[in-house]
Amino acid sequence: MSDASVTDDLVADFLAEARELIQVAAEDLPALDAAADPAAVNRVFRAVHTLKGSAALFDWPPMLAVLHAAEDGLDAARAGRHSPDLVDLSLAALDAVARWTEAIAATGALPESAGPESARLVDRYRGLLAPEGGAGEPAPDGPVPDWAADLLAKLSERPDGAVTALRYVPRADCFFAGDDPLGLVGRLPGLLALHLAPAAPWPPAETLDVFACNLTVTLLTTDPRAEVDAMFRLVRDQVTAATLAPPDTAATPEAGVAPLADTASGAERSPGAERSPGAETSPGAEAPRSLRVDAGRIDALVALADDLTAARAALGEVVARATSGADLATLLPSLRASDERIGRLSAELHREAVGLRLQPLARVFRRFPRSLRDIARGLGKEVVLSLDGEATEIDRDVAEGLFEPLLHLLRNAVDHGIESREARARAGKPAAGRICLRAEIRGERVVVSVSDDGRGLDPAFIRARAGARGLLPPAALAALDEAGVIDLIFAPGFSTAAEVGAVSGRGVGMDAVREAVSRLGGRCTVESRVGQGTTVRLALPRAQSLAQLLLVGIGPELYGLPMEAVAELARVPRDRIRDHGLGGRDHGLGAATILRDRTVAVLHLADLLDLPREGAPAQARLAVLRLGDERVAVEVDRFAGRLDGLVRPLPGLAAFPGLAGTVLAGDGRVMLVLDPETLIDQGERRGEGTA
Amino acid sequence: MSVRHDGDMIRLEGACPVEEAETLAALLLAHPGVGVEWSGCTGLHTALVQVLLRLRPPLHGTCGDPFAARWLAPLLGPAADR
Repeated sequence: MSDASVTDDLVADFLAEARELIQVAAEDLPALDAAADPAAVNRVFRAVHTLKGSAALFDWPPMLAVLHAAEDGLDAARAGRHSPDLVDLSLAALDAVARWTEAIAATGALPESAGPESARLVDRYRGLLAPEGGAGEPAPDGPVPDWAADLLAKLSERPDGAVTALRYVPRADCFFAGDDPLGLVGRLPGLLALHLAPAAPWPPAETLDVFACNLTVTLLTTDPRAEVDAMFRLVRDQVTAATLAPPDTAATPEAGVAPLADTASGAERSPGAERSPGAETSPGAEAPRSLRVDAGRIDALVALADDLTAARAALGEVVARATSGADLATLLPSLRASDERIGRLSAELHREAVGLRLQPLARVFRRFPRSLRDIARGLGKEVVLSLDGEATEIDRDVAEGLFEPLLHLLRNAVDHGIESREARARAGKPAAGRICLRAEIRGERVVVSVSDDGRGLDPAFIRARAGARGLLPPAALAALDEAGVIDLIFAPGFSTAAEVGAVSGRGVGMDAVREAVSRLGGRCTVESRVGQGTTVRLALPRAQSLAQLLLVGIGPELYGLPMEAVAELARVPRDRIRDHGLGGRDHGLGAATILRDRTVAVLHLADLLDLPREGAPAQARLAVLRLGDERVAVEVDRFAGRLDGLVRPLPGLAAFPGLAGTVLAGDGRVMLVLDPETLIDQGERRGEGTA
Repeated sequence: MSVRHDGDMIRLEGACPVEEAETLAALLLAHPGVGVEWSGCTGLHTALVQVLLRLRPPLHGTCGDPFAARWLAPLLGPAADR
């Protein structure tokens, strides 16, 4: 794909997205007039914020300026500074943006009139935002916003310095994004007061959706405003902050509390709340996107569907002949032909349908340069980001699921990888750190990598840390080679909140990255050289593909094991399976047998899945799994054939180590598909636990 | 296991991740009035705090997570009713 067509695609994507977002914002805007419903304000703000981020990819300054001004106006509304003209003005701004969007669709450029019109709109926003006093930005030590007044009044002793007040209304779906709002709050060292309330009235207890966050967190802290902003920068669209003046300059704290509003009434004014500077939120809050499909692809799909219908009709004839008593043997050739034809057509149909889901990684990649610049600036570092292979196509869900882990890796690279300017100069490196985000196709996989030319990972440090954290028994740790040691950064518990900086820290470590990637069906590896840099590689499935599964049974249930992981199937007399190393206790863990002159650990699938075992037949049925260079045998009750199927990942919260997803069996049943790697890992961890 | 029903008490143990919120809510709804013992708990995800806030079971012991013990316990106790 050429650069020009990538840009065309991006414009087309932008147009589809912009129309949707403008509609969302325009629908919610009038609601702001009536009651200033905070949820509606947030929705409009997010739509405009996302639209601004997308428009920033192109060279349309008038559009960007208007969206930027609108964002500021709406941000002020979120902070409680609600101006009666805001709705009208914002509708006018959206209207202009909508007209310009259609002009771009028609001519590829903004109309001539866009410049002056944009300037007028921006001016009106400026007038709206200027406080009555005429000063530009609100004073840093403003009066107390209503939402903070209650907490401040209850404070038994007010510290001498300034106090930062924060209101944090996490998005309802924030748990799914991996957020732990109170975990973030718990990291404020200077917390003075905390209040929790439902964001919306609680639903009846029985219908409580435990995974929908419905909280408003209000707090006071002595932490300086800048640090609070930095800590909450990733949820900036969900927080409102204000700096409260020390008591001596603001008379008594009670003075600011006078007009105590009922927090539920919503109409809040908080002139002290200012917007946090220059931070970009992660675009996790985007409106749903539509999928643009090439018309030719739809035609091909329709043609295939026609062929399939014809093939089914042919099969129907054979069935009719069978019912009317034809000899089965004479029907066999037609049955085979039908089977072959339908099989070929369904495979083709699958390939075409999967193709619809592919999209270039450019859409994900292009969101990064800007956020990376902000991150680097926040850390006082200079970084150059280069993108490579943006045109590589990948499954849409994988692309979308990649944003968070990649952002985390990039953040890590800037925060921990790239050295300070002085250190780089001493090491003879250019002042600006280099980070490269690259995608390339390797067979059926797409490898996305993040490399930096920073200080690299120090195996000695990792070894010491892992030892101190007790991640591995000392002997196992000592036995690890350098690559194995570096791999420990992915172990849960390796990084802790206590020492992660404001930029990298949001309670996710590399273990969360690995988990997110494995949920997408991918794998995560790291390579690093001290002083030369680190590369993290994510090998991801390019498209959803049909997997060959071995079906195995435990009791009445069947499970799928990916064929690619199965080295061989074996039946071994029970007395050739020995229990090793556990002092003869039969936990089903620590058992092993000899296969092809090799000692192979034997784990029972029932134990791995926490299911009861049903007897112990004289002949054990073993599926020998290939895990890297290792072989591990898994005992099952029976082998039940093969199945080709599309493995669907489990929804985020149902994800469980050991499970890769589900597959639809021929009879319509849904079967669980096992993930050999995490399944065995878990078994070994349990084994260590009982040893 | 980080959330488990033990006699007439629900125990929170170790770090309780987001996934446990469902278990906790189910146990609390199935056994109205049952207490929650959280002194063995070393970390509590917001989703579980939300369940405690909504269902307000009696809490026993001091939470092993200092942040929860200092800041959340007063909000989740029967006194802080709102």
